[in-house]
Amino acid sequence: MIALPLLTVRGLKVIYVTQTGSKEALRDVSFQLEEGEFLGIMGESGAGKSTVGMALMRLIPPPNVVRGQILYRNEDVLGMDERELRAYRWRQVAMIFQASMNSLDPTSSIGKSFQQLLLDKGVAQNKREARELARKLLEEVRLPEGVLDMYPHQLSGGMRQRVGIAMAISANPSLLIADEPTTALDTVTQFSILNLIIDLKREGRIRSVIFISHDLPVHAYVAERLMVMLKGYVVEEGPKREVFTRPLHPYTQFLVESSKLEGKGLRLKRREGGGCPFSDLCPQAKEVCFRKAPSLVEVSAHHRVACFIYGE
Amino acid sequence: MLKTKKSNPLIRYFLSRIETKVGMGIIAFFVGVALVSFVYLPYNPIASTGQDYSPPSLQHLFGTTSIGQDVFSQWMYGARATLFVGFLAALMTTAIGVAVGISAGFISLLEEPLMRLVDVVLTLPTLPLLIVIAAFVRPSLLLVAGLISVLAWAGTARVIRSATLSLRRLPYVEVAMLSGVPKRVLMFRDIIRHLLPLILAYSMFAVIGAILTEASLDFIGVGPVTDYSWGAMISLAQSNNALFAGAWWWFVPPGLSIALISTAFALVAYSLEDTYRRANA
Amino acid sequence: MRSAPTIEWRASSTVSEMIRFRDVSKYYRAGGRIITALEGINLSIEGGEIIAIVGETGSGKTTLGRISVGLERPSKGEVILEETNLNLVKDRREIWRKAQYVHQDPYSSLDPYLTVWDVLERPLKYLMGVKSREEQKDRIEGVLEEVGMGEEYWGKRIQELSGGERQRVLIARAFIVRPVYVVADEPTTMIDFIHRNEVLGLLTKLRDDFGTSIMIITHDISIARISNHIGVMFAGRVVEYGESKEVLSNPLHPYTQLLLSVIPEKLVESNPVREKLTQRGVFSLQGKGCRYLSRCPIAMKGCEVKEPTLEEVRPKHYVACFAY
Repeated sequence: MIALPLLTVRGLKVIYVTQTGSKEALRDVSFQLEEGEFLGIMGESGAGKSTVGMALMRLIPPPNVVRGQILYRNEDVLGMDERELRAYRWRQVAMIFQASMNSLDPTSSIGKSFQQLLLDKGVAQNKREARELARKLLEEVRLPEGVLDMYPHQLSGGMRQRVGIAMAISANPSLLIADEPTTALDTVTQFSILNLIIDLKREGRIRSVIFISHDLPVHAYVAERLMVMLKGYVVEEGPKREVFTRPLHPYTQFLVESSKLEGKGLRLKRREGGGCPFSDLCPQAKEVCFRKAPSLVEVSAHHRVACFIYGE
Repeated sequence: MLKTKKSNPLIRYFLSRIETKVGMGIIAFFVGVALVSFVYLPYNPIASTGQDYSPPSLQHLFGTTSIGQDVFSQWMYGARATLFVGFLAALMTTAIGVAVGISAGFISLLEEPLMRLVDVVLTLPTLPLLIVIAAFVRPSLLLVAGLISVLAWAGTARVIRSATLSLRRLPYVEVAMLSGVPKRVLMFRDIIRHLLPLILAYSMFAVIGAILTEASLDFIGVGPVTDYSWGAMISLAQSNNALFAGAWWWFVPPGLSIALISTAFALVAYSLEDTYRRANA
Repeated sequence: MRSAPTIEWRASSTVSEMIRFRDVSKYYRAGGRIITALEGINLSIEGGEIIAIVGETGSGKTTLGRISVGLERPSKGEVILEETNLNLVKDRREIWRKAQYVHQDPYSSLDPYLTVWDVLERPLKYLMGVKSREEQKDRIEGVLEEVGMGEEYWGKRIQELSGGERQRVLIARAFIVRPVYVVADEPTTMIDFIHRNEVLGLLTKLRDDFGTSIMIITHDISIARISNHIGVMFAGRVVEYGESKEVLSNPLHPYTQLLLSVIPEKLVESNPVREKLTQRGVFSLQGKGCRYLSRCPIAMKGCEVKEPTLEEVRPKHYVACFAY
């Protein structure tokens, strides 16, 4: 029996509409996530990676435009009504943000914030249960019970992020989406949080993870599969090791080469682009690259790339 | 190479707002009336040209006063004095307030003494003080404008100072310093350019304050009544029991005008404040 | 108003020791406590070299950079720039004629209403006393060419420029006075990958063309590949220092080793980070002992008692660690 993918995204398109105009954040994004996978979404600012996370959580309100298909266990996420959404968000899929650290209510103790959250979500029925559950959750993220009585400003950035993770997993979601959770932290704390997420997955506490970051070393450490995005397109997708050791897309090649210590430090010449999102910088651009954007083709099992060098 | 022209998108935004359009429209109207009064007045506003207490008619658009003077002409003539004092006082208030505010915000040594001065001036009761002064020295329009601004600059100074303080912390101020730009240039060219919408907004408030103060002085009877301002009209109407005589046309035009023009300036001021906030988001 | 000092353009200095930090320390008072930003820094930078100061937020690297151009004063110790003790300089404009600073964020570092010409004219006018329109034109044109921007940019306002363009203007502004020393604060952090190499290449070119010494402040150790020397900072102290090639191939201090182990090529292959992250429950007593104690995977008995100082362990390679 072939297992159903946990998440199927097809032709996802997001347009942000503001007073000054509209901006296409995602163009035709498609990918699949199997149960138990750790997918890393890599991209710079403007690549659209955070937008993917927000779209999966249905956190993009109108008048912004969201089109395409998001299937979670074969259910149409974009078509869910209020009731279905409440069962979906935070219970099936949860998200932690970079700002998680700073979005805790500064006037409530951690315990109080937890209490409110757990009662709200219906995970705990009364205050005593909530406190007990909060204590257990803190333990899971390796924080001592005393934290419950502390206030956000008394905790370090790393500790606050752990609280954020604890809150996110409180309703036992199957999928955790982490959007730049470690960017503002120092190296050591960063990696301890990454280790935490890896451990939680290994212990079965979280089954699947989508990790969004612009930081290449982070993906090199935690991701199992890597998806590289550029200007709203997916340009490459495959097993981490392969993407790092045999990058296919010129953009990925550039990223990997630039991050090496002995790297050549390539300088790319800028020009008028069109069609392919990398056409304005790609050293191997051909005539067709300026006319239309390539779609993803399978180069080997599990490794796809959107580039005319590989056909189509 | 002083390029003081503000960037277009901001000006465009400012002009697109409905508050700006309505406000400036009203102001333009009144300024127009005042300007026209220099070349044309239907009648001599002081002379008795019609029936006493006659209601608005085709000959006297706003009716007449208790001694048959044409209210419409008086109203046009009064616009001059009111607006003159308003603009002049606002100009002086703003000039002093901005100079003090920026200096206090930028030069740490001056901050303490200047702000103490501001605090003192703020506690002075404007109207009573002006009444007392005016009772002794019946002031001319110029003097009234001057007196008003001597007391009103403090409010502007305070706001400008705190705005300067927050701008001062921005890196580009440090970069200007690194380029050797002397403090004076930084303050009065760069920072002013960033504060411009705010300064203009507070000058609008200053105009409103000045007009109302002037009208109040006239109403009480210590203003320069020799120049029939709107406040003077209301004062005369009141002392002649116009309401009792049913001559609403005497005091409604000037009263309504004061209210309208104040509102107009307020609208433009809020628009400016909004533009300022946008520029420094 | 005092007129701007008129100094002619001169070739970059041939003094071998461009900058010398002598026992520099900096303390701040915040909410009743004393925060140590820098402690006993002894360092020297040669003429025409690029030095990378690597550390995290709070390591003191930014403070070090700012003190070296006179933007802040050390609490203790002195900075000697080309034989001039910065503490003794009355008018700081004299310092900025020779030493400049490039801020991190190109968006908040330039006044959006100024034009490119305005930004570049100011240091010429106020620091160098160049008043003739002709000469200004020459120099502005020259420096813009160095950063790859042409005449069409002169009249553009800063707010019309992209982030990358703003940064180039910021760099041009610093170099237009032909300084002997420039500090670049996190020049690549706010730029996307694609343009990072360009900025680094630009700084290298400027050093080659003008002979300016450049201090690059960064948290990304891979930047060190364009530098001659590296100084690794942690909690206000320099914990390792040496020639880049040497330090990168033989990192001695545990912290440096950690920083070098978290680059993608290493991470993909193995899981080296876990061992290095062992947090020992030992915290150094107030003020005593090595500051890296709480994180050090190789801490020994002596580390709790005294703070290690920089010692030359290999030729021209200094480390502050008792393991050596």
